[in-house]
Amino acid sequence: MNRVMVVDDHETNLKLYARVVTQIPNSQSNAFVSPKSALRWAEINDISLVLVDQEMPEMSGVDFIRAFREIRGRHDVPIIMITATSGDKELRRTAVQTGASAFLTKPVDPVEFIALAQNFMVMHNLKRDALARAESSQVQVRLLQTSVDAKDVELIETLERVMEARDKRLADHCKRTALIAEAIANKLRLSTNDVRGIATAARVHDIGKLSVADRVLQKPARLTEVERRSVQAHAAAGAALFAERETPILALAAQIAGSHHEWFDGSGYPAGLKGEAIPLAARVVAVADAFCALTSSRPYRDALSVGLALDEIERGAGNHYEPRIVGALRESTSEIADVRARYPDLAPTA
Amino acid sequence: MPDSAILDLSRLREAFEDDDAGIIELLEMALNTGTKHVERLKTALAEGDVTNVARAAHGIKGSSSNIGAIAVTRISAEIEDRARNARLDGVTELAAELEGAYVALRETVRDYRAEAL
Repeated sequence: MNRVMVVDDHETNLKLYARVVTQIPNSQSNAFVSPKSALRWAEINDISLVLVDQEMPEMSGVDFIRAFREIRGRHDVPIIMITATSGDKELRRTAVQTGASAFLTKPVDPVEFIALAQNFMVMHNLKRDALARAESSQVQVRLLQTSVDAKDVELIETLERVMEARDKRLADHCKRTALIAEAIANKLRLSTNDVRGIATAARVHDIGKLSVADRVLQKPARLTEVERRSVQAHAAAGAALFAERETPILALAAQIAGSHHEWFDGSGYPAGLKGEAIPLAARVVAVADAFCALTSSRPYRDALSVGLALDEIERGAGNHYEPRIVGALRESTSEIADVRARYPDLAPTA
Repeated sequence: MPDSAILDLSRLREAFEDDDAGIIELLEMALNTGTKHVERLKTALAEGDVTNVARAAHGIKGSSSNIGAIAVTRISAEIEDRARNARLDGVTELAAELEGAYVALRETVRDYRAEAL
């Protein structure tokens, strides 16, 4: 589904443009009277096309485009700017330099708008798909060079059974997290091999918890500082299990186990890595892990509903979690429902 | 059919794929917000504030042209033009004319509703 963002401070215009968007196949509109809220929304949601008015009291169309272009992953989204008159050449020149792709003049002609929007979205989607294919073929070359070892997958499965024998809830949590991480990786349009790698390696992301004492893991009350640190040690302990393994899956397992509690703003553990210094797979699993933890009951609290958990995670977008990954989680509602049906939450043994 | 000197429905028909109920809902919304904008214009005019007169007229012009409110668009464009040139002479009369155009538009929409729905 193509998302068309429509920004205009006049609600009548907004309603009219949104209605025209419904005539474009496979498209939905997301309408905003406030350019500032539109920008916040754009940080966490993929967009195929933007339609923005020039004259708005909160922020001009040109300023909006400038801010929008600075959002990661939004530099090439087509933007159509709407002006009240076609005469202002200087304004149009500035707008083009800032990143406007085309102009429409009021009164907006619906047929002209539909044609323009469709063409832009087709081009945008082709470009995005071509880039994704190019990326995926590069990864395939890499993987062929090192060759995927079925033995790695067997090893991961064995480790899963070890977890199950010790703590069924922990093993289920890992399975749920891996499936959600897979859904997110798909929404991020990672290559098939990368998605498969993350989905496999994430199945043992919490294996380091086997080194944490049961009385700490099952404690129904607030942890002491020493206990908290012993729980945090699970990340490094997990990574250590796969240290120096160089096959793609095991190297990925080391990254994920070691860095899935690194927060996007650098406030996580164990290394305090920040932003893209955190491996992508670990950034994805961080979001999936948090979501699965929030939606499961714990000895010290009840499970949150899916909606509340998503809201909670959205609050962490930009500080704990990478915003576009949070957006990808939001898009994964049908996968979330499947996962919850497949691995229902077991009551904690307090 | 509404008087096309007041309301030209051709674009709205394309936008709404001839959905009369949708068009009427939008027009009624435009009438309500239009009234607010005219009040804003009159306040700015009473204060002799040319910048805000131009701004209010510009907003009215943009949204009224989108819905095909021909008379409203023409008068608000004239007001904007004068205010941008820092001229407020005759604008009080134009503002009264604008209010009249809204009254006519409201009646046209009412007749359209009675006829179509």
